[in-house]
Amino acid sequence: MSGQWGFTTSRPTDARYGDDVAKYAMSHGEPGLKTFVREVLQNSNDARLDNDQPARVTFKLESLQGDEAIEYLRALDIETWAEHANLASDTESGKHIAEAIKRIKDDEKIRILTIEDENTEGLLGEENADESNFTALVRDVLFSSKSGDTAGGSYGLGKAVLWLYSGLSLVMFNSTLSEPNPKDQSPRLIGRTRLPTHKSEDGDTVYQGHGWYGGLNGDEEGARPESIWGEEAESIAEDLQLSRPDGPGTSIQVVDFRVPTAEERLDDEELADQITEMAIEWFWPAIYRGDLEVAVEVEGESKQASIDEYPQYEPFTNCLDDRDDSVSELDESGDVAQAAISLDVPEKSDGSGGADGQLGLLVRRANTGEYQHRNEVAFVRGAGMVVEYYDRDRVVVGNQDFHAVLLGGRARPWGTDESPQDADTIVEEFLTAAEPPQHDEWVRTETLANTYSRGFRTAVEGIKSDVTETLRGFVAPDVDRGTTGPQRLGNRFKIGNESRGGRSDRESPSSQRVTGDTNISFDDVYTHWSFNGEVEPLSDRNEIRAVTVSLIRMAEERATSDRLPVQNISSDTAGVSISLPEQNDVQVGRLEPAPGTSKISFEGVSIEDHRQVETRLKVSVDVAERRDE
Amino acid sequence: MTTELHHLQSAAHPMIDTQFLAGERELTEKDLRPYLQPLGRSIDLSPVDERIEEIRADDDIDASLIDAELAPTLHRTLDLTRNEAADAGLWHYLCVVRFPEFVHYRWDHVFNPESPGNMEEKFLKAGTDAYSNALHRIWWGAELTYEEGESGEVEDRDYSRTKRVLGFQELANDILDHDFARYIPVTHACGDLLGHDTLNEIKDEGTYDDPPSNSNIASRTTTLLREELTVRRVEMMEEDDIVETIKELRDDVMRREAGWS
Repeated sequence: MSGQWGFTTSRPTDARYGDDVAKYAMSHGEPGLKTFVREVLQNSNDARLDNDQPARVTFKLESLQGDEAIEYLRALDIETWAEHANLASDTESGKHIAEAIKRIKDDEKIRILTIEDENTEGLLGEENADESNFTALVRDVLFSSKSGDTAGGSYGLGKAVLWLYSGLSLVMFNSTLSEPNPKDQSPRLIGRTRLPTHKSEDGDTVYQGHGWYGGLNGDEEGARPESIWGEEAESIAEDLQLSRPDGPGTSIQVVDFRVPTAEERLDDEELADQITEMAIEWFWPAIYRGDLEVAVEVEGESKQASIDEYPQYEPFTNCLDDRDDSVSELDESGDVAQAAISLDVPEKSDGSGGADGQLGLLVRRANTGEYQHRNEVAFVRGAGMVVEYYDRDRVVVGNQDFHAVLLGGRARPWGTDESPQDADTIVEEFLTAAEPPQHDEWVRTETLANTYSRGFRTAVEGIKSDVTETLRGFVAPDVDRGTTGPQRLGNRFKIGNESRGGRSDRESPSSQRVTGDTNISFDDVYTHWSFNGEVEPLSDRNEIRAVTVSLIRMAEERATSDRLPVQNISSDTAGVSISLPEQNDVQVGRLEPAPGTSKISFEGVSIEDHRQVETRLKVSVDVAERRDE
Repeated sequence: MTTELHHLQSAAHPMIDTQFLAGERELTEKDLRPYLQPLGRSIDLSPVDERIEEIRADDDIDASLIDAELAPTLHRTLDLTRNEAADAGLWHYLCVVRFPEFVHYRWDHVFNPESPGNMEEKFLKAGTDAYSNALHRIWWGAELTYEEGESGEVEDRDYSRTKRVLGFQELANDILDHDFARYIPVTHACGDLLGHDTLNEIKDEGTYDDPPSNSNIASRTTTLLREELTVRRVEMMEEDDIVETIKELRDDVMRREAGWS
C-alpha cells in the first residue's frame, strides 16, 4: 500500500505560479540556516500542549544511499512526482529542481531532515476546514490559524521555509493528533510539493504546480489526495523513515534538505552542530524556562541541545536567575540590576484593549572574559524566542560592559514570583503584531497599523530609545560630562533625500514630527534639477504651517553650506500660497498652506546648473498643533 | 630619556572631565594605569619637549604659527608608520599624559566650560579625524605635506610646504578637515596653489580687481573642490589634472564667478 501524488489542474487563463510566493517572502533577507531553525522551532513552540511538559523537538538528519534510497523514493511515489517535476523543470524557475534531481542521481544519495515534535497539538482539523493546524500547515498559503496573542508566528509564513529548504520543494508530514479531530485514527500522513505551473506532455492540461501525496478519494474526478490515516499511514511512514513515537505531535520531513544560500553543502555533523547552536542562540529563554527541548540526531545518535554547553548565553540566563537579588547599581561583575520600561499600548481600532504596560529590563555587568553578545540586549516575549539581539556597544564606549534581557508581554515577570497580568497579555499581543514576517524585530508593521489606533507608532518606535536611555543610567560612569545631547524637540524636521537611500537616523523617532517622500534628479535637457515631494505630519493633531525647500550642494563626506537657488516651485494642494524668498542670499521655495492642511505636495526646478555636482533636497517643515476650526 | 608609547583606552574618557579640560587637574600615568596599553615602542621625545620650550620662550612667534613651528620636529621625532599613527588611543595618550601642557598652551582659548566639546576634541579626537586632536593634526599635517629628500633620510626631508599649510590656519583646516586630505597629490596641490605666497603673487600681478581675502579664496576653493569630488573620483585623476582643476576653481573664485556665491 502506498500513497500517490495528485496535482491540481487549472484553466489556461488562471494565474500561473513560477514558484511559491511565500517562499520568497520568507527568503527575503536571510535564508540561511538561522531562518529555518527559528521558524521550525517557533512552529513547534507555538503548538505546545497546554500542560507542564515541554514541547520536544528532534531534528534527525539522514543521508540515504543505495537500496535504502531506492526503497525510500519508491515509497514516495517518486515516479509520478518526477513526471510532473520534469515538465515543470523546463520552466526558468523549475531549474533548481532539475539541478536537485541531477545531484541526487549523481551522488546516488538523498539527504532528508525530519523534524519530530512531541507534546504538541498535531495536525488537527478537517481536510477542508476553514481554519485549522492542518490546513494552515499543509494547505494554505499566507494564512495563519495561530491564536493571536502569544503565538510566535502570526503570518502563517513560517511554514514556507520548509519548502524553501527542500531541493525538490517536497515536504512530508506525519502527525499524531492530540484530540480526535477530525477522527480518532492517528497517525495522519500527507505530503505536499510546490512546483511551478506546468503543462502535461500533450499540452492539453495545465497543472497549477501544487501537488499532494495521499490517498485518492476515488469518486470525485480531479480531487486532490487527502490524508492517509491509521495503520495504513503507519506502514507508509515506516517506509518513509517517518515513524513517530506514541505521543501527540507532528513529524515533518524535508526531502533533499539543503540551505538555499549556502556556498557549499555542509556535512551532516557540521549541520547538526549549527542547528544545535542556533536553537540555543534563539530559544534559550524557552529552553531555560523548560517549555522547549531540542535534540539533534545524526546517524541514529541523538544529542540534546543544552544551554550549559554554550556558556556565552549564561550571562543572559543569569539575568533571570539573579533577578530577585537585583541591585540598584552595577558595582561588581555579575551584578544584575532591573528597571521597568513603560510601554503605553494604544487602544485597538475597535476600542478594545489598550494598557499602560511595562517591559522588564534586566542588565548584568559583564566579566572580562564574557565577550560574546557583549553589550547586547536580548529582546524576548512570552513565546520564549529571542526576537533580536540589540547591539548597544556604542552606548558603553568607555563604560561598563554588560549583557541585558528585555522581557515583554507574558515574559515580563520571568525570574520573579509574579504571574503575568492583563496588561502583559495586551503588551504581548501588541509586540506580536509589531513583528514582521521574519519575527526578528519590533517595528511598525501593517498589522499594527490595521489593528491599533493612533499612538502605536510612538509606542513601538520608542522601545529602543527607552532601552538605550535606561541602559545609560546603569552602565555610564558617574561623571558629570555636562548636558549631552539635549532633546531638541523643535518644530523643524528635515527630510533626507530618499533617492540616496539616506533616512536620517540622527533624529530620535520621538522627535520626528513629519513624514514624507522627496525626490530630486538632474534634467539633462534643461540643465537644471527638478524635484518633487510630499510631506505630512505624523500626528493627526498637527497641521503644516509652512514648508521651505532648499537645494544643498554636497561634498564628499557631508553637506556644504552652499545652496543652489530654487527657480520655481508649485503645489497642487489647494489653497497654498507660494513665494520664493531668499535665505542667506539664496532663493528658496516656500509654501504656506491654508489652515487645517495636513498633507502638502510640491514640485519645482532649480536655476540652470552647469556644474552638476551632487545636490540634495532639504525640506524644512513647520508643524504646529492643529487650530480649532 | 625615552618614552614608552601607550594606547589610552576609551574606557578612560570619562576621566577627561571639565576640570581636566580647564587645566585644573592633571592625570598622571599612574592615574590612568588601568587604561594604558603599552604599544611596545619607545621613542626619545626630548627634541619635541625642547622645541616646545623654544616656541613658548619666543615671544615673537604668533600663536597661529605654533603648529607650523612644531610640525617638523614632531614629525621627525615621532617617526611613526601610518598604521601606528592611525591609532587614536596613541594620540590620546600623548595629549592627555605626555603633552597636556602643550595642548593647553595651544588651545586654551577655545575652552568654554559651558560647551567643553571644543577642548575635549583637542585631547580625544584623532583616528580618521585629522583636524581636531592637537598633536595628531600637526603630525598628519606634516605627513601629508612634507617632501622626501634625495637621500630618503629623515634629516633630509623638506618641510617647507608643511610650514606653509600649517602656518595658514584656514588653509590647514580646510584641508585637514576633509576626506580628500588623505590623497597626497591633492593636499600638495592645495598647499602649493592656495598658500599665502602664491595667492599674494597673483594678487600682485593685478589681474583681478579687488580679489577676495586669502582665507576666502582658500576656503571657497576647497569647498568647490569638495563639491566637484562628488562627481569625480580623485584617485583616478592625473596629477596635472588635479592641479588644473584646483587652479581653475581658484581663478573662478578670484574672479568672483564661482557660480552663485
